[in-house]
Parts: sequence; structure tokens; C-alpha cells
Amino acid sequence: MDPKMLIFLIPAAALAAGILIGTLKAGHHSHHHGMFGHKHGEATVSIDMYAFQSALYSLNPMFKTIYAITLLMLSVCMNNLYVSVLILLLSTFIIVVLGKLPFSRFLNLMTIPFVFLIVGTIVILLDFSWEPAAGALGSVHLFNFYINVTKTGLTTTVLLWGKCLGAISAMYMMSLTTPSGELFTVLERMHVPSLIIELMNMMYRFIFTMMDTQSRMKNAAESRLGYKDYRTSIKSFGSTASNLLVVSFKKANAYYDALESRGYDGRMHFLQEEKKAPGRERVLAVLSVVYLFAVFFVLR
Amino acid sequence: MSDLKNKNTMNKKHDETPLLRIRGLKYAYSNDKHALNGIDLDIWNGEKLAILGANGAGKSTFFLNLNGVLKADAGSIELDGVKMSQNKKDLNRLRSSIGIVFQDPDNQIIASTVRGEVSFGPMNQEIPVEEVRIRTEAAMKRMDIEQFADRAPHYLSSGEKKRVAIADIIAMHPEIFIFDEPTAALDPASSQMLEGVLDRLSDEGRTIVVSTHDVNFAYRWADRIIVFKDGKIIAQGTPDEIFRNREVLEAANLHEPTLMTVTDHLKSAGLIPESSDNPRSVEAFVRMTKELTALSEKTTDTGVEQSA
Repeated sequence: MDPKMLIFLIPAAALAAGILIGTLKAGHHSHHHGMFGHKHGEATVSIDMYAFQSALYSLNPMFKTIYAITLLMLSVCMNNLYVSVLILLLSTFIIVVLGKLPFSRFLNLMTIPFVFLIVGTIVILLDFSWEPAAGALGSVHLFNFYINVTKTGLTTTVLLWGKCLGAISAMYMMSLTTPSGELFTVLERMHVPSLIIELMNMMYRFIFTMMDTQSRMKNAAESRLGYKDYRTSIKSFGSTASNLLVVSFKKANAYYDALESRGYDGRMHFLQEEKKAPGRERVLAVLSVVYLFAVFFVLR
Repeated sequence: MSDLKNKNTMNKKHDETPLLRIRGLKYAYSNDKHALNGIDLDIWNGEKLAILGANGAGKSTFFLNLNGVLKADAGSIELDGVKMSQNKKDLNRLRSSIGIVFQDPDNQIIASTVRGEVSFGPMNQEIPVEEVRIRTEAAMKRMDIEQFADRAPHYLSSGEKKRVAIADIIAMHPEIFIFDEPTAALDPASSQMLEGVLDRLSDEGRTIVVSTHDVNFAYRWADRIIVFKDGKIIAQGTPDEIFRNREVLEAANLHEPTLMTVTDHLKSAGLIPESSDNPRSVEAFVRMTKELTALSEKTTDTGVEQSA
């Protein structure tokens, strides 16, 4: 084995061990149900809720966002499997061990992009040809053509998976520790137009009020046998949806009245708590980025 | 306190200017009959005003008119003796001075954190950000929601949301607080919390207007009661005046406060002397019965001594 590999293997093993120990430790005093799969429509809400419960919630959102975006860029631009795997492990470590999110929940969230990843890379992995490709790792004869897995196809796919998972985990690191409201403020500081920020704010708020209304209407329909079979389900769903539209118009009116009565003049300003910029965390973040650069140059 | 009550009952004779003077206020929704049909009302500084009336009697419409959210078709509003027109400056003045706590907090709360939400009103009042911060923190402390400051409003219980909705308005430092059916959909503990808030606000001399369907609450809390029907004020007066008025009760579909009925019956049965005042709250009722028992024990005691 190339001794240069140690620069990758040591931190990778350390992070993996950290995640394992953290998970085992947490497993001792918290039992939660459901390893995989979530109830319908819960995914977005749970991400939002995890952010509030995260142990890293109190960190400055600007810092978290910049760090996450840096890791994302490194994973995508360096085009280096080792770097990406390290980023994946690092983000997982931060989310699970430092942020104290149960590992199973994180795994559960990772399944969502994973499905897209598999579907998206299948064409890259598999090579179709009329004759068995020379030097293929394996090929299957089907009707009158061959499906081959070549070495280049495989390496590209693995690299792609690494890059994507690294990037996704970095983004999860941000969204699982930073509530949406704070992200909006960060975007505002980055000079995203205020119109967009306000729209995001309102959409975020309305997602929850609308979901609430929808689930209440659905329950009401269900309790009157509105979902007893496929046909009625379709019908009930249709009327619930159209009703939801009417309700949202009404709600929009009521909202507008309430906003106006508090002096709304077309601009929306909210006070946001200033979270102090972290000291130690900042140093660690910079060190980790420097280290990733080192890995990149050594294992290029 | 009693000064205030006198002022309220005799407000017509009073030459002092009311905090808010409303004359001939009319408002119609498009394609609808008149929602408000000529409202005349004076609201005095520091009073506790309850507004009763069936759903659709025009209470909420009236509030939105006071605040300039709905633009009245006719009539005038005077704030502190100054006539308010419908230009932007006056509308902002009205919205700053009259704060409405809406019935459903979910139709009021807009921000993604509680702190942001409470700061929304003061931010619009164009006061320095430092002052906004102070007011926001004070209002949250006041409503005991500091611990939720950075939480998203949709993870709060309905009682907690109500507290946020009230803090929203407290942070604006309005002269008049309007509560639109505040106890609707609240559990008993939250209702009690709300009455505590109302009491504290009026102890500080704030002017409070509450619309409600709860006659028992109106009876024990209000200095003055206004009865709405079909977009008109059909009666106004002290709680005793209103609830003694059979015609008004019938017209507005109201019933007597329980305590009033009970006391009246006890009086006619001779268990309570006719001359004693009707207690308006359960506490007052208990106090009265205790005093009466103490009194009767005293008389029997002296009676025993005399016979001996």
C-alpha cells in the first residue's frame, strides 16, 4: 500500500470510528422508532424540526452556511474521490456526533437523494453495445445486444457517487442545523433581492398553515368515509384540493388585514437575533479545509 | 377606578375629549348590505370596554375600520380630538395607536421566528432598531415567551401562539388594545392567562376593547358594555344596565350572566338582603357570602347573650 494513502485513511477511520461510537452512545439512552421510511409528507417538516433540535443550532448561521458551501464546492470541483469521501464522513460526523441527530434519521434522509443518484448514474455505469466490449469487467447478453460494465464506467460512477454524496451531506449539514428563518437572513446579507427573501419567508410560513388546513380537511373527509376506496379517494382528494384553494384565498385576505393593521407598507422587516461568530469552530473549519486541500494535492 | 366609572356612565355630559370619537361610521362590503350602519361611539382613556353581539353583527368589521384597514364609506374618527383622514400619515397613526389582536393567531403570525414576529409591528413604526429590540424583548418577557424567541411559530401550541399574537401588539405600544374574541378556541388555562393579561394591562391604565360572546366574562370584567346588532349599536351602558335590560338581551340574543341570575334568586328568596350590591365575579360573590355569614353569626351571638 502506498504510504501516501495514510493521509486519507487515518482521518477517514477516525471519523468513521467517531460516528460509530457517537451512534452507539446515543443508542443507549434514546430509543426511537422507525429505522427507515417516513410517513407521508413528513420529510420537509422533519428537516425543519431537526434544525431547531440540533446541538449546533446556536452556532452563527452565516458561518455554517459558508462552511457548508465551501465543502460543497470542494467536493464538486476537486473531482477527487478521497476528498469527497472525507467530506461525506466529516459532514456525517458533524451532523450525527456534534449535532446529535440520531444516525438512523440521517440515513433515512440520505435515502431521498440516493434514489435519484442510482437512477441518474445507471446510464453512465452501463454501456450498451452490439458486441461484447473489450476489457469489460462484465457483460450480459440480452436479445441481440450486450450490456457491459467497463472499468472507466465504474470509476466514473464511483467518483460521481462520491462527489454527489459529499456535496449532499455538506448541504444537509447546513439544513439540519440551521432553521429556514436564519437562512433567509443569511441570504439577505448576501444581497439576494428582498422581494425574493420576503416571498421565501411567506412561503415558508404558509407551507405549514396550508398543510395544517389540508390535514384537517383530509381527516374530516376520512371520518365520513371519504377515502374508503380508490374512486372516492380521488374524488375527496379533488374536492379537498379545490377547497384548499378557496381557503387559501380567504386566509390570504385575513393575513393581509392583520399585516396592514400592524402598519405593513409593502416591506417586511423582522428582527433577528445576532449569534456571535464562533472562535474555536472557525479555526477547526479552516483547518479542515486546509487538510482537504492537502489530501487533494497528495492523492491527486 | 370609581372616578373612571362615573366618567364612563356620564360620558355624554362630559366635556373632556375622548381618546377615540367615532361618528356616523358606515361601511359596506362590495355586493353586500351595509355591514356597519352608522356607528357613534366614544372610547375613553383607560376604560375596559366589552362589545357583545352575534356573529356577523359587525364587530370585526368595526375594528378593521377603526384601524384604517377597511376604509369607511362615511363618518369620522377622531383620535385625541384630531380628525383622522384617510391619507397615509393618518392611517399609520391610527394603526400605531390602535392595536388589534386577531381572533386566530394563525391569521396574524407571519414571521419564521417568534422574535421576528413580535418585532414586525415596531419595525414598521419606523423607530430606531435598538428601540425595536428593547420593545420586542420586553413584550416577549411580558407574555412569558422568551424561551421560544428563536423558535418557529408553527411548533407552538395554540395557547402559546395566542401569547405571541398578544406580544405582537404589546410591542407596538398602542394607546388602545383591541381583542377580537380572545377566548375563542382557548383552553381554560389559556383563558385564565388571557384575563390576567387584560387585568394587568388595564392596571397600567391602558384602554382595552374586547369583543366576546361570553356574557359572564363581560359582566365581571367590563366597565362598560356595547351591544352590536346588524351593524348598529343597540345599547351601551354599565354591565348592570345592559343585563337588566330585557329588551336588549332579547334583541341581541344574549342571556343573563349566571351570577346575576343566582344573586337575584337568592335575593328574592330572602337569603341575601335586597340592598346589597350584585357581585360581578365569583370572588366577589364568595366575599359577600362570607361577610353575610359573619354578620349573621354576630347577630345570633348577641341574641344569645341578651336572652341569657
